[in-house]
Amino acid sequence: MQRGRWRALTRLALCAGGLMAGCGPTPTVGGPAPGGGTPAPGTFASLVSDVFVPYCSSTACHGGASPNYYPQLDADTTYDQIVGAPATQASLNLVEPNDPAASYLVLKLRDQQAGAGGSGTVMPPPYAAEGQLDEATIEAIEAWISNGAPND
Amino acid sequence: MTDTLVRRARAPWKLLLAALALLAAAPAARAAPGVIVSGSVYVDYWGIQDQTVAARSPRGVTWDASLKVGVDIHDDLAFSAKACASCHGIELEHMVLDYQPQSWFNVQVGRLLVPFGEYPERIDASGHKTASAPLIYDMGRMAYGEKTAFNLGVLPQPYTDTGALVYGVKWLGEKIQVWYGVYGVSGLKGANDVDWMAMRSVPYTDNNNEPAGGARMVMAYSSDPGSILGDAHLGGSFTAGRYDKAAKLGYMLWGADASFRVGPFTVRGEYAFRRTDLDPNGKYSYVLVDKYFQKDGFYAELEHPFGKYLSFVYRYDELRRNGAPLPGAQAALSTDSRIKRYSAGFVLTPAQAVFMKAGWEYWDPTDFTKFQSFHVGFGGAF
Repeated sequence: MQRGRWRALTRLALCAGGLMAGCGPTPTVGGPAPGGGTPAPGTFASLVSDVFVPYCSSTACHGGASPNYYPQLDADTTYDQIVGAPATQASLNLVEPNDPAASYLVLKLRDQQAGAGGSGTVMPPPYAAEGQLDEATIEAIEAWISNGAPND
Repeated sequence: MTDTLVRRARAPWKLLLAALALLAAAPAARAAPGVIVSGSVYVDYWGIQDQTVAARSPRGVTWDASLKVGVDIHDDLAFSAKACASCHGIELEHMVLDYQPQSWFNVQVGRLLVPFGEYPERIDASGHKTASAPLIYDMGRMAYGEKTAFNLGVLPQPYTDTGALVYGVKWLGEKIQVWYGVYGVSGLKGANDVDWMAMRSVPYTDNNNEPAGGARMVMAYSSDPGSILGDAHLGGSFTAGRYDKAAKLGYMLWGADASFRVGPFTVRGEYAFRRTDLDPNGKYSYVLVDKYFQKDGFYAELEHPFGKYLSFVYRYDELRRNGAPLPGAQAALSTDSRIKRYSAGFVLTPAQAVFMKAGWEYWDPTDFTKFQSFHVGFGGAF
């Protein structure tokens, strides 16, 4: 009985070691994709990585296919979802190129949506884990819109 | 859309009210037979000297508090609930009915603390000597843990999910106990990689029609009193499922853990691994060959007492991410990114159930700025 118990323990220990060794191959990644690299400050790509993905694209909110809330603000969908796209809460586009004051996105970020006939809470909402955007970030978004909201 | 937003915004308040009701009932419950109440409070300050790192890290003061109530309904049935308060407000770590007809067969249903790894069993600040969680299990208090960087570790703990757990205990002789458990739960959620914010946001329901499953087994050895070779354990954990709404992207986690004591020294370590499928339709900064990425890591810890009131702890941990960075990730994140961390600290227990922790850490990532930091914290448990 004693020998059988130690045999079982040894087998279990060896299984654990085998699991440790058998992690599987690390994934193969190809070379840089065309258009990749570090996004320059002020570009739309930098806004995606600095703002939209970390602050907006949770699947609890604006992330993933069929997100809980319009619009879908994932890295590869944000541009088409906001530039020239109508807001659902007011008769404005979410981003009106060259006109931040007429862009519903900016009004939501500044909690000024009610003045334009809009509704709902400021974005990101006060209870958001990532917190709210600072003034410099909102001004960067406004500057990008003022420059024509390019997909750069 | 607005009404929906407002309704869903109210939902967390219902959970807060439930947790507050639990807190209010606890003192009265404690006086009743068959009721066990326990809890802890801990306040920690994390100081980072490098201001560039500090600006992007969850440094400063945070608090952790927990209150657990266990009620014996009758010989075979118990109720247990634990409310935790920390960075993102009050949450329920678990709320379960526990049916215990036999030692080898028990069933828990409800909002479970999913058994993965050994660290969750010591997750209260009073249960571990280090001032911070291991990188593989950190929940939101690590540097470079943003969604656009590492997106936290392998499996932030505690991992709480909705489902059912079947578990039991078996003795092999008088000294070796085996604990085993098998479970079915809603599973992790996300769109492209796991979304940890969605995991702790209402509704606490499955986001797809495929439940996840898993298992854990632990062997524990109980030593003789006074023996140089003390208690030891060896454990293994596994869970897998699909995390996206369409149930097309899978994940798989496994882990191993062990500890043993030699005289006054306790040595413990854990390894955790996660493979996560990537959305093949995403726009990545690298050409996607294998459509998944891997995250793994481990920690190794040594602790020992120094006199009656002091204990020292030393830890080395690593977290690794291999694979294409996600769309929108920071440019610095490479396809083979690692964080190494060296930690040392002590715990001072001047009186029963009251403790102070202090610790120093040196962070050594491959893709980001190296830095050192310190923790100071005070807490108590009852």
